[in-house]
Amino acid sequence: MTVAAHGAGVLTGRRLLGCVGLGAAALIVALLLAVSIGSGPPGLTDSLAVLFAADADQSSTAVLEMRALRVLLGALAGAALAAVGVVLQLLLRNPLADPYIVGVSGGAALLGSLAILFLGAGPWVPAAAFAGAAGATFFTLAAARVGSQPPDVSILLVGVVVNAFAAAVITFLKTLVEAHKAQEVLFWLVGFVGYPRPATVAIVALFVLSAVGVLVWLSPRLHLMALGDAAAARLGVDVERTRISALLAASLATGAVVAETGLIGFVGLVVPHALRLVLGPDPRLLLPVAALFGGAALCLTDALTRALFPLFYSETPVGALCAVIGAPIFVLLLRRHLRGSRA
Amino acid sequence: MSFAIASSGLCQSFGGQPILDQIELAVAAGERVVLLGANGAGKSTLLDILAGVRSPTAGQVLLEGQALAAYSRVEVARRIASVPQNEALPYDLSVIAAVLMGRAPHQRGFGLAGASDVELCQQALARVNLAGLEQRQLGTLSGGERQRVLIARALVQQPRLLLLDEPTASLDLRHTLIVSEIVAELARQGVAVISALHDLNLAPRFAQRVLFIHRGRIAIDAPVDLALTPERLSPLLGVELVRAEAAGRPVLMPV
Repeated sequence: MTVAAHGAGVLTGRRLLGCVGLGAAALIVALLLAVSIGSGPPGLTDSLAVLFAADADQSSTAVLEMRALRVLLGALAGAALAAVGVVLQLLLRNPLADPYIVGVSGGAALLGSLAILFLGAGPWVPAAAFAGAAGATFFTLAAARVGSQPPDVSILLVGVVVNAFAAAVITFLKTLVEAHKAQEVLFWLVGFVGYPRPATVAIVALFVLSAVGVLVWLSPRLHLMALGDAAAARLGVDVERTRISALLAASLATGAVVAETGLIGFVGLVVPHALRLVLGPDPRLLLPVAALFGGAALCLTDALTRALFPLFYSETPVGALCAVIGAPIFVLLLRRHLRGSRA
Repeated sequence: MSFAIASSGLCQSFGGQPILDQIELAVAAGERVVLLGANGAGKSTLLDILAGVRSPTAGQVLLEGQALAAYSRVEVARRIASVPQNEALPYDLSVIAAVLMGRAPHQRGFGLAGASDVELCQQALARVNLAGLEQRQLGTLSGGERQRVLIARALVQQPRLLLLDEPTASLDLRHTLIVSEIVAELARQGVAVISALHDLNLAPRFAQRVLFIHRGRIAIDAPVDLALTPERLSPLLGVELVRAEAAGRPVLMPV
């Protein structure tokens, strides 16, 4: 029997390239569509005209440039959240692990909210949020480690406690400030892509692409770690080094995203789970493909918030829309998964 | 004689409780050794230390004459394969994907499967009587079939030392004999095999030599025929045994 005849069980170069190519094509189509979707013109034909250097009026070009930056930020955020979801679900052996579970959301939300409440909106908000995300991650990893024991469960527990502590402090602070400040914090926390500056997109891209690159590089070892620490070690994996490297890369990517977009849920849960049903659990394949489809999913969902503008006379936060769309999909996937595992 | 693996002064304790005490052993290439001992005697702990996945409290392990600690993890995995007693395999992994993981220490880069890797896996699956189940998910297999997947994975690792911890615990008699034949074949090819067993009567099929661990120490280190005697084993196991011969092999039964 040939390698190809083994189909889904064997990861070959051809299968990897085919799936990544499909994901890349989906992302390109999503980016193009997302740039063309807004509360009004310019539309798809204008986008194509700008893309292929045909005649396009300057106002359309300016709007499209603004949208392109936003779409890119959305795609980067979606890619990071989906890739990190794959890695954390595998490392923590918990299908409910999302990118925020190691305390990232709590740390980012707490320092970001403090910056909004006491300094007002400005470039210091993402900087504070990133510092909070990184600080919470290091704290969680350090607090979860007892001796040389693998910290799988303790990471989850400490992460949940850090997030709960941060949520409590934020709630307390919101009761102390004026209503419009509390509203500002709420809006940031619920997740919003906004219209970023080119430098912001470049910084997020640097963090996300490097971190996802590291995770893809680690994915052959992560694949073996699905067997458990001892089994992976027997197969040649330096388990501790791989775990710490993966958690740090995952947290930096999430921290960079949270700092700019706030907390966007469900992308890190739904995209990995949906693709796992089709592609299987191998992170060498799942991780890059989830990153591409995660990017496509989030930039399209964000485009939908713009398309819904005429309906609500304001933009629905993308975090809320992701939850509204993601929650029922997640329940459907869960039911299908449960039926499959009982069959 | 060149030793595949040797240990000197090996000690292990958990919470101040000694589990292994001054274990000295040397196993040559191509030699088959069985570890016997009561529950909790320290057999699995010793195998874990020899596999390099657990550090001893004191003492040293030498792999092919060099300190085990001096090898990188992947270098160890190219030389030692082990089949642990309990390994929770992911239920959604296919049989072929699980066996291919045994090729990981020999693969570079992304660890993509080549034709030769797949062929090795198919041969190993056929050897443990699992041919045709390549695409089945592990969650759909019986305990014995999963055990044979682990043995196939160890075979494709192409080790020079194979460590088996209760390899036949979930197997029926036919597959128990198949595994003992595999062990004998590997030994003929120069692979050293150390198997921890509970069934005394399987020892002659799995080994030429018995190491009996009692209270953390090696109480018996002798050829099978000399080790498997009621006089030596009854006091250690706390069970009165009688010995018979069947098909040229010793058989021990409780009185």
